[in-house]
Amino acid sequence: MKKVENKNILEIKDLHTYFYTDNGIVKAVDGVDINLKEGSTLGIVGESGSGKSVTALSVMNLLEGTKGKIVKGEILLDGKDIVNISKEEKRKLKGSQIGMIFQEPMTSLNPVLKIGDQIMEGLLQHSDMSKQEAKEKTIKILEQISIPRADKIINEYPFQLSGGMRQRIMIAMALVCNPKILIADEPTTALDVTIQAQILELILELKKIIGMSIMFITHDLGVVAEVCDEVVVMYCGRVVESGDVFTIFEDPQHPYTKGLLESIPKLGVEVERLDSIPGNVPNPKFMPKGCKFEPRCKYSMDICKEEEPPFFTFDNEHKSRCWLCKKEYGGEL
Amino acid sequence: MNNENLLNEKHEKDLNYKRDMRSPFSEFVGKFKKQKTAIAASVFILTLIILSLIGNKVVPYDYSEYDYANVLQGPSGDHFFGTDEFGRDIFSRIIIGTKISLFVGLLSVTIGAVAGTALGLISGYYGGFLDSIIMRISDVLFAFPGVILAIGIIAILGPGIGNVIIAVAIFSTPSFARIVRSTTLELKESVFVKAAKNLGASDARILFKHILPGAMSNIIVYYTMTIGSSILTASSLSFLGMGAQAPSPEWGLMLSTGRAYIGLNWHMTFFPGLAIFLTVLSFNLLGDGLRDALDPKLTE
Amino acid sequence: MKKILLHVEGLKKYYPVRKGILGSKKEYVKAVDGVDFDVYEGEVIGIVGESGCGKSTTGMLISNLINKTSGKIIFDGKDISNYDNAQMRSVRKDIQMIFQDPYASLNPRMSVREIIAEPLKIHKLTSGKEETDKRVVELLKQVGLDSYHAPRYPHEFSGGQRQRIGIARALAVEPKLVIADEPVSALDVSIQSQVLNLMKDLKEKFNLTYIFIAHDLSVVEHISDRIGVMYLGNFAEVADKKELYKNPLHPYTQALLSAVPVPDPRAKKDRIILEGSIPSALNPPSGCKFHTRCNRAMERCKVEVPKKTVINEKHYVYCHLYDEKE
Repeated sequence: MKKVENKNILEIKDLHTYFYTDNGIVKAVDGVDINLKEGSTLGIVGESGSGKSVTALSVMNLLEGTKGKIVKGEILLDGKDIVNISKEEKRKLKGSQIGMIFQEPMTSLNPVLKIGDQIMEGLLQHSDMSKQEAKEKTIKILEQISIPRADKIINEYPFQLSGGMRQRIMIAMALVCNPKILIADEPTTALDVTIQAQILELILELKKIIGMSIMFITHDLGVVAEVCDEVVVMYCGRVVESGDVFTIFEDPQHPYTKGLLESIPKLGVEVERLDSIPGNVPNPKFMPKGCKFEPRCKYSMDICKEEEPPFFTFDNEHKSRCWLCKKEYGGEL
Repeated sequence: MNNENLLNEKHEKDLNYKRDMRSPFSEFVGKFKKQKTAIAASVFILTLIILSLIGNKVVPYDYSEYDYANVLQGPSGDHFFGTDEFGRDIFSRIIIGTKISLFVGLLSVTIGAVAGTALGLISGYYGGFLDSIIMRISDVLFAFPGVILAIGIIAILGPGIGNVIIAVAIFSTPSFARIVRSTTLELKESVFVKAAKNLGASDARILFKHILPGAMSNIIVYYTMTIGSSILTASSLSFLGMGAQAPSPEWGLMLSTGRAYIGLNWHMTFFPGLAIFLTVLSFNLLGDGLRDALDPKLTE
Repeated sequence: MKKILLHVEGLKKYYPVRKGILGSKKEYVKAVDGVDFDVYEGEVIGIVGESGCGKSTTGMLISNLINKTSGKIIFDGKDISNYDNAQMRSVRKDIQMIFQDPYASLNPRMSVREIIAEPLKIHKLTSGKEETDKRVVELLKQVGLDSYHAPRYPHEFSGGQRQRIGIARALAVEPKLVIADEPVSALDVSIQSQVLNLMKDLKEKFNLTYIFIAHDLSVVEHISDRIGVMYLGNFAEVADKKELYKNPLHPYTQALLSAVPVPDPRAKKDRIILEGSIPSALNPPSGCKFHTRCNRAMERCKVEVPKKTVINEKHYVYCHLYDEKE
């Protein structure tokens, strides 16, 4: 967890992704800026409805076929825009430059295709390898992610494998073309703790070997603390706080981040009651006018109701979207 | 805790977290309103129902009055749909015939639906031996094409509109039983049924409070669509001479009579056929509309 | 010593699976394979384990939502093991469940009022509409909701609110024992703590006893007094929660504890990474079921089923590493 001073491999600038449903527009992502630095692991944390997964879908170009649309903003991969490009170019990006793993490995694997064929598909599409070469490479990759009997497994079907194994296969599929970035959307949420530990270990190890950058989307703060270098906290389609992992966990500035950290029970730490954030995530149709967290915030002030706070930047690129950071309201800035 | 509650309340009120959704029924009405064809179909069906009730008061002629001066006339200002071989006004006969067709369709399917629902609930909920018996019998009934089965039943019971009703009811029962059984099997395993069991609810309560309402939307949709096909079957039976008997103005029977004159007097077959066609189509369209409006998957 | 509210002995649930061409070979999925434990009045006993360990099945066996294969259940001094459905109905008033998925456990076609009034009607606890409505509002307020929620339907609520409705329904009959099956695992982090706090408050207020079933060790540790760790249909270790955290004896408990991600980026952990995945409950490993993944497995673990080794009054473990001390 060294300090990373590299260039940004992925830049999300002022992203707005809206869903046009029959009941009106849902602003799932509403002005999000995220930078992923080369070689680092960025955690995006948030609850359901925070827009973290939609942000990932936007980057991965998986909004097609849904009611969602990027209405504003840029996504730059290695300095090149990846939103307004042709379908053909998008297809090439997927797999070769951006690898992805999802929460439900079973639904993302084709149940009627052999494991080996599914992994090889990416290789055959994005390079001019022969089938034999692709097969050898596939086995090599499976061995690399310590899958036993790799040469046999390629002839098996997804249902023959356990959940943890399937997630490993997904990782193999994502990594087969040496992508620049890996987007992992809740990759361990559906797994048991002991299996989760295996997968996290594997991801960290692969990152060291391959040197890719990872965007890790999760709701589990424990997982974030364990694997991420930097953290972005999202709430109601916005980034509310971002910074490096130590700052976020040790010196959080936004009341939402603080609330989240205080509301999780910690192993071996006994408390009578957990501090909890009251209320619920607001209904997207009735978003508060000012700060979106204001109705649940115990520090709520008049200005919070009226005006949405801008970002306040501390040292070390630590940013918080809360009026409390301003000197006027008792903050440092 | 108190503080938490207060904030909760504040949150809801501040945010205008008001009811933006309604009860399942008004939600259904809202969705049904968007279905233009289904609305048109229900208007047509409603008209048929009204005609079947007050038909004899609005028809221009007595449906059974012979008028030998005006036999086999084509459609005209006096006789909208023309007259038949005895000079009876076809328009009046068709209107009076709606009563028969609707009565046969509704009654037979209602009997079939009630019997099928009861059998399906028992079969799905209790399973085991009863389930096997009920399902094997319906398999046997399914093995015959509907009309053939009805012909068989009428061959035993003898022709007549009453027996047509029984025949149609019998062959629509297994389909209802199957539909209700599969929903019952699904709902029986649902967590809210487990929760009800955990509360100590009796079987009757679980069946009628939790499972039947859940199966209701499927039943209603299938019920509507089956009425259409039952009217068709009843007309077919009458056409074959096994249902309504002359001089009844049953549509299938009229069609059958008109067949002899089809070369020169097309209107004798065309209008009864059109009535059957539109009625069956309307019930099917209504069923489709209900399906879309009742389908919870289309809620989002 | 507190009074024993629930005594479970040799509880088993086997699901038959037919194999072979004609279904001639019968095999069993041993979901719960001989579980013994006591629940004391007023305590919270947590049951943790990974998927397929039989923790949820155990909960449903106790509340008799599924039929057990064998075993003895004594509740409040009465042997309810062989109660039929009618007899069970009277016990149901005392044993209530809270379910994992608050979306699925509420009938979508019933309003909140009808949902909470249902147990009142079933057990005839209130008479007349007015009294029922009054009690429904009272229950809603107890779980942090309000009377204006009563006419609404489940889909109008968020996950946390739905779970509150589920809790209100369980409380309606004033149960003695509440079995909570993963009550917070479907909820967001900030909502989880609300529901956990609510459950703690209600426990104090109504002197409830909980069996709290979950896969999340930190959550279980927070709410429980004692914790039982299950693996493939059996308990591996049962202990007081502090003892279990400070002095885990079973290698599986140790691995499980070390695998839980800690929300502290500076925490250094010597993680025990278990190899392989959980074996199938159909044909589970012989001897100690954990021996295939255990880093301290011995020869005898493969053949001999470990017996209960009592470490102290509240701590016992099923592992051959400790049974020589007897």
